[in-house]
Amino acid sequence: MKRENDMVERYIYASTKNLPRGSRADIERELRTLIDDLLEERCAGREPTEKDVRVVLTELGTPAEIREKYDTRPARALIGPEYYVQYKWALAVVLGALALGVVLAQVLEVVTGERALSDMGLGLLAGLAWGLGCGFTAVTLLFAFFERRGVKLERADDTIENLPPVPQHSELIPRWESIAGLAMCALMLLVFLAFPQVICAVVDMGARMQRVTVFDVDALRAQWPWIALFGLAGMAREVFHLIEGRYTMRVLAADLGCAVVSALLACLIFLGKDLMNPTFLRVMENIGLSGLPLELFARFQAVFLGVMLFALAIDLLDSAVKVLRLYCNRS
Amino acid sequence: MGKEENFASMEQELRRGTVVLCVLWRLERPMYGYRLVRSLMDKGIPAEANTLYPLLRRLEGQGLLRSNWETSGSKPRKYYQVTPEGKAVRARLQEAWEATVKSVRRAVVEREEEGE
Repeated sequence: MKRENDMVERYIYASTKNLPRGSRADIERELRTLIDDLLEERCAGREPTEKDVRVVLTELGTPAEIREKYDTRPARALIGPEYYVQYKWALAVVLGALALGVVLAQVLEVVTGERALSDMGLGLLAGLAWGLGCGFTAVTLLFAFFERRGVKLERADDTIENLPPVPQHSELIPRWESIAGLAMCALMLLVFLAFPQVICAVVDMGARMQRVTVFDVDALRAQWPWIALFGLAGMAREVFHLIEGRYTMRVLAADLGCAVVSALLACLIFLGKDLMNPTFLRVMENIGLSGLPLELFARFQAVFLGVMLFALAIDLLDSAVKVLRLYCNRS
Repeated sequence: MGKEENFASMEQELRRGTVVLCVLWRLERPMYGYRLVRSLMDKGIPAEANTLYPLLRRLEGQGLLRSNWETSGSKPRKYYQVTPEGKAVRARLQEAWEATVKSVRRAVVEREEEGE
């Protein structure tokens, strides 16, 4: 009988192991009694054989079926059908942009002599594995966040009276705009996190061409958590545009949130640290640069931050004007 | 899916909603799960234990049934019985069921009379 009992216990364990803890013991007990009743009826007084146990358990259903019937929790997916189409789009764009970026960066490294041509294959493989892995993780985490927080694609109030008007052409956010934005974020992440050395100047030093990186590569890489978050904030904005598809107050709110977060992160990255490559300025002086251009390069970090903040502000202003104009026209 | 499987699936759909009403009636008196399965089958209502047991728990969760483990017998058994709330729901369900039967019958008979 030990074997038969083992089979029943294994069956009960397999059927209940993933059920909520609170009800698991009760369901186990209930199933045990049920199997006992079924065996009793089948065997009519005689001792159940292994075959009897097998027949009864087979008729009762597989553990997966039992589990499915007992589990009343709503099924949850990391990324549900509501977001799946946009998720695939974003993934294709980001991974495509990253793959292109990795190839370009490798070619640039070979052209500038930093990497030997024979090493290019290996560098390409490593770059693709790293870049695509990070891109996949970033996009998946973003959409999982939307799924988890239940960011609705449709308006919550979809009664007949409150159905949104059919959007005019000017209300729609062009898909290509979001896709281009996503690709830019992916490229930015790739360059700043993996290949900051490609932000460089190539100067003629007489006998040979010399490549000088603008930023101190190690100092810049030390900022990676903030840089990654900056890229994610930008991606979140573009993904939200892709999902919403039209200029709405929700888009403006999301843009405002992302712009504030991005601006804070940009300040965190560029303020109070010296990220510039000291050799860069010396080389600029040596090649005869002076006056305002040299001054600009001397304060390149601040200028770079200023340009970023300006771009964020312009982007936000653009969204605000479009959204507010639509709402004014409508009212 | 074959024709017989299609029909079986349709028949199952037709019966699905009526099981709750039958369960709420059969559990006027306390009964344990397997006894209820047999009792329904005796009345010509095919009920599978693996569907009925989770249904009983769901109805209990909704407050329509209450349960208690009886351990004084030869083996422990969980007895279910309809609650006052379950009785109220049962009365409304029965009304809805009778109205549905009447409407369906009228639709079928009228269809025959109109010679459609």
